[in-house]
Amino acid sequence: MKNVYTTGEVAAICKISQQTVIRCFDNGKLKGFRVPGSRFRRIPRESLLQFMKENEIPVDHVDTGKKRILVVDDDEAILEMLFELLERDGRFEVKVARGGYEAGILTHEFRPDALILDYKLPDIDGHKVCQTIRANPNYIGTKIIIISGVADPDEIAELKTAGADDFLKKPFQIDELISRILQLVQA
Amino acid sequence: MTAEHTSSSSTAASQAAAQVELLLARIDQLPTLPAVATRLLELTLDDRSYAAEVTRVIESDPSLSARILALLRRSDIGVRANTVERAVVLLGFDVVRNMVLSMQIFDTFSKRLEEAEGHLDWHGLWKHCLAVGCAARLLAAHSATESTGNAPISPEAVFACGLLHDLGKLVLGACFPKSYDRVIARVEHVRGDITEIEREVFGIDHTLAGKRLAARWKLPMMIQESIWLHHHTPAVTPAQITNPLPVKLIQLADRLVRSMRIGYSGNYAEASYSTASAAALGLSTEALKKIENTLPEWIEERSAFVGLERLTSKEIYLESLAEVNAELARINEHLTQANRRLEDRSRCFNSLRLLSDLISPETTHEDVAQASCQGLQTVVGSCAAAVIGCSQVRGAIGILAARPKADGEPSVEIWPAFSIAAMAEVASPQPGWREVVGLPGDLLDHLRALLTEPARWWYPLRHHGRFIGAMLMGGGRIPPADDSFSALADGIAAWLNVAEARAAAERLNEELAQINRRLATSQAELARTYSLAMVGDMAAGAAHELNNPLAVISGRAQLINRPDLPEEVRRTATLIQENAHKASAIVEELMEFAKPATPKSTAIDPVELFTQIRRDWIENTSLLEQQFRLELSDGLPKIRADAAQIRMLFDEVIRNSVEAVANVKEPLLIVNCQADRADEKIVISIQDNGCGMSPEVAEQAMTPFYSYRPAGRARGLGLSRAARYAQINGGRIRLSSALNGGTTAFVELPTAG
Repeated sequence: MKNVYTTGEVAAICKISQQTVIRCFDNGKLKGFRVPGSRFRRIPRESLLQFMKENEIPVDHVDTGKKRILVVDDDEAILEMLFELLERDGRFEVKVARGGYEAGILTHEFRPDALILDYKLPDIDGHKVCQTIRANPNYIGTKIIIISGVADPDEIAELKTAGADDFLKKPFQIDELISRILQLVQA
Repeated sequence: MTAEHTSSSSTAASQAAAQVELLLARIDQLPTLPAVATRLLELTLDDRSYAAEVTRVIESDPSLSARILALLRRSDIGVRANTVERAVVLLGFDVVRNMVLSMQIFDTFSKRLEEAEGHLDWHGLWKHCLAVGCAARLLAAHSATESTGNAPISPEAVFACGLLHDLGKLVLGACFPKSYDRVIARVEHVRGDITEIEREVFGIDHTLAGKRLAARWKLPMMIQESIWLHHHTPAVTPAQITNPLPVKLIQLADRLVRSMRIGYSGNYAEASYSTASAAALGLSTEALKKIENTLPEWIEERSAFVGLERLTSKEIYLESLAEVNAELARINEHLTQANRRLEDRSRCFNSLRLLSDLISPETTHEDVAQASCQGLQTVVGSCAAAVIGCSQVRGAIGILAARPKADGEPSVEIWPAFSIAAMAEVASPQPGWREVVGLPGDLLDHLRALLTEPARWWYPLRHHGRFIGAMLMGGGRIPPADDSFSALADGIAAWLNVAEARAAAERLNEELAQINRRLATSQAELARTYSLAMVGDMAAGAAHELNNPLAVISGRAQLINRPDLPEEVRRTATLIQENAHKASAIVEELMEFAKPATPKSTAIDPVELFTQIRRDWIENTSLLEQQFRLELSDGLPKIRADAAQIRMLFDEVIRNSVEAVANVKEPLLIVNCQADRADEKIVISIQDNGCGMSPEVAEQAMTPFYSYRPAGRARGLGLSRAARYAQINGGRIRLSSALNGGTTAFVELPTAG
């Protein structure tokens, strides 16, 4: 994980011009330091993130060092709960999708390390999601954990064939879930 | 001189007729009454006698008249004399005396007739001939006086015809006294036409016999025809005869005399005469009445000339009346006999009625056998009787009703099959009583015991030719079997058939009921499977729907549960989380019960399985080694089942037992395995000495969510889950339990190969 950025790098991350970055640096809006013995400006990671937040610039493209998790479920309460518990853990960057279609878009944009996928979805079912992701070489490292209220062994076997890496039944133990995620993404 | 041929067969009858022909040819004389001969002799010897007197005497004797007239024919004097009077005039006293003398020759013969002690009433017959002669003479006189266009005819000639009309009876009676006695007896018995009986016995009747003799003797044609045709009616009298009028007069006279019952004709044929046939002869009803009234006087007068006896007209009336009474008595006797026969029939039909009263849709072989046994006794009189009916439908058995001579209800019992088959084999296809020869010995021995006497006669019962039973009788005399009795037999057979049909219907009904019961069971099974499938679908849906909120509850509870919060909050959070998981587990169990995973059958060694189970249970519960006993014999076959499911099955059953022995001082569980190789299954019994179950509880023990344990109960799927696993693995569980008597669960599972 990168801890110090150049003005050019900040400009790329924030999708603004380098001049704007320099101007903000010079007027103190973007905190940083100059390389001793030279005029080169350097911006620490924390300052960059603070700046982006203050100016409402999406932090998506900042390598936060956290594992990106995409939670896919049609149940809002589940989404909220999972988002909250994963965020609170601090080791994860979490996004949620309410269906298969949204999951597809976010997989492309967010490039998650792992999907937590309820396979019974209203539009495109989990099985299809698994197959689509596995069919794309760009997502070769993306892990899929199925969570479901129904644990039909035959269906689980099918999902694993389709590309799912793990299965967890709802309700679950939080510790269990997190340890499974970490097991998969750090492998 | 007499020949006795009495056979009634046709060849014998024709032989008899031939005999008659021979005799007619040989006998040149006709027997007559000695009294007439004697009187005539007296008259002819007495010079003072008048010709008319002699004539009357001769005329009053048929055989004498015939003889005289025959002599006239033979004398060849060129004069055709057809009256006795004319014959006397023509012949003169000398000739008549010769005749009478020649008749002496017949005295012995005539005497022999009387001494023959035959039943033929010669005296009566003589009177009959005289009466017919008189009547014919009177009829001829009236017929002649009234204008009818008929040619005038000498009344005396007609008298001769009448006198001689029964010549045939004289010759048959004299020549064949014994055979003719039989004829008389038969006529008396059947009250019939004498000519028919004569033809039966001799092959010839008296009209023909008389005609033949008359022809041989060359008597005038008028007499021949009168003899031949006196039993004919005017309607059937041949048209070509030479003397129709005298013949018709004789016919009428014979009937008139017989209807008045004067003398003895030996004939009971119809004696009435039609006034129409009388009118055809020019005789009015009044004239006939007048003749009837004067006839006795004429007979009185003429019999006086005969000298046989002197009959007053009053005596003739009285005698006629006595004869009528005697006949009435005979008719009465006849009716009494007929009545007796009718009574027999009536008994048969009463029995039939008794039986038909019994017939209902519920009639059994036993009912029919019993009632017909009683009916049989009513008909044949007090005699030991039995009726046996056979039933193929009821397993080729016989139903035997028997009743000894003594009173009481007939006993009824079932007789085994082989006897019936043996009876059917020896049964004659013709109805009727037979001796019991050939019937199975064991049946006869048994009947002897039942009837207290041996069964002697049996009568096979058939329905449409099929042997359906039999009637049996004791007693020495062969039981009656006339038409009415065979009607009774047919009735019994028909009712046995009804009983058989009813038994068949009943059996079909039972089979139907059984099929219905099976159908109902499979319907229940189907309904159960169907409802299980529904529960499965529902549980699957519920699992999904419920587990999401349960996941939220559980997750939120875990989120709350932060180390910095008060202990009370943290404990509550833990409880919430735990119960959310419990709720989820129930849903899962339910789903598993309704839609269990398809068993993955493998061969499981029962010894390994139960050794493992025992070890696990002893390790994980307070159960001690000696409290869990295994009884596994050597060489047990392997179980074919899904290993995981079978393990769960036995865990559930054992859990149930362990819970049952919780409060028992010295708990004991015994697991026993028995191979049932014939059925390719293994039976495992799990016996405990626990609290047991009441029948009501035992019945419900395998119903899902039923639990008899009141508080803190386990989820109610235990035994039902076990049963479900047994079922899907091709086995079953039975429970045997008594309250406070422990429970034994029998688990049947298929064996591998």
